[in-house]
Amino acid sequence: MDKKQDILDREDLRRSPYSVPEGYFAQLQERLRAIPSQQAEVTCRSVSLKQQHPEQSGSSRSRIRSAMSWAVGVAAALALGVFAFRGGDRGDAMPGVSEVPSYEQYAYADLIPYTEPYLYYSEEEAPAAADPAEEEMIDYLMQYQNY
Amino acid sequence: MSDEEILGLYRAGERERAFGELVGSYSERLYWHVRGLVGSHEDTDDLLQDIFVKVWTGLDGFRGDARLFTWLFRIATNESLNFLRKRNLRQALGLESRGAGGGTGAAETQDGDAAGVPAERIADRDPWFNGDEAQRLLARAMAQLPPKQRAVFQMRYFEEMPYEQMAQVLGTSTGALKASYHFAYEKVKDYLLKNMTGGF
Repeated sequence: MDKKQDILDREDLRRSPYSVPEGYFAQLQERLRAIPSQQAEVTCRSVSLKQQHPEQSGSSRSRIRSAMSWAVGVAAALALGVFAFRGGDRGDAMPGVSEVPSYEQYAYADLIPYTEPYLYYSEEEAPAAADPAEEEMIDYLMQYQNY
Repeated sequence: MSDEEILGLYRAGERERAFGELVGSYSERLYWHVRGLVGSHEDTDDLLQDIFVKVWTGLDGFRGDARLFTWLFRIATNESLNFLRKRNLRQALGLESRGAGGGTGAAETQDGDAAGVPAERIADRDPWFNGDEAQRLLARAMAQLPPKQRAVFQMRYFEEMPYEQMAQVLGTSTGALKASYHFAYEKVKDYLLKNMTGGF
């Protein structure tokens, strides 16, 4: 017999192992049936509280409170947005990086053509060019003569 | 009294009487359903109070597009699942105190230990648990399941609820329920096989 197949098929496992104190369900039903009158009492109490202290009505105070917290939240979000937007200009946000690219650099990066390497490199970075040959210099000057 | 008669009574204005009939018809069945999910008698008792308060306040808005039974079980299951999730969170944060009756409320501890009772040990501490060793092990296995999977296992294995009815209670498709039950069944079976001693 394969024990693995039978273990959860046993009838005794499907029986509830729980019990309740004697008379519990009768008591439970009595308590539950009292819910409508208890709820009515709670409603009356809260209504009379509002009537007795209208100036301390929670509703107006809570309205003001919620409006203020909303305003504070919006102000905080705005401040955070401005800070994040301007943060790149300061250039000192990231450790180990001497200069943080500005927004303009990001925006115009796509406009730099691939064929213009001097727009990427400074004179120090660019590989040292060999001195132009005399022939090349003459060709270059002759080009400008023709204009 | 049938569901239609209870609803008829309610709509005719005899609200408290209708609620009383509802309590009489369903309280015991809901008790065992909730008890199977949360384990402890005290917690079940507290939950039932909350459930029936919700039933009373929600009866006005009950449109009758689902069966009364389904609607009641949906409320009971949701309350139980919320309770289980909160309990898991409290235990994970170490906020649970050990109750004398196996409940998870802020009862005085028997031995002064403030550590929470793990969910799988609630059956061990519940004086209203009368099962044998195999059933104790099964209760522990179920306690390992995520709350919703536990509900699926409880409803299918113990209550033998049809998938179509479970789908209405849990708001999930029958296909998803069948898959969930299959995984729960395998997990429980593995747990029993790993932990059972000879003579099972």
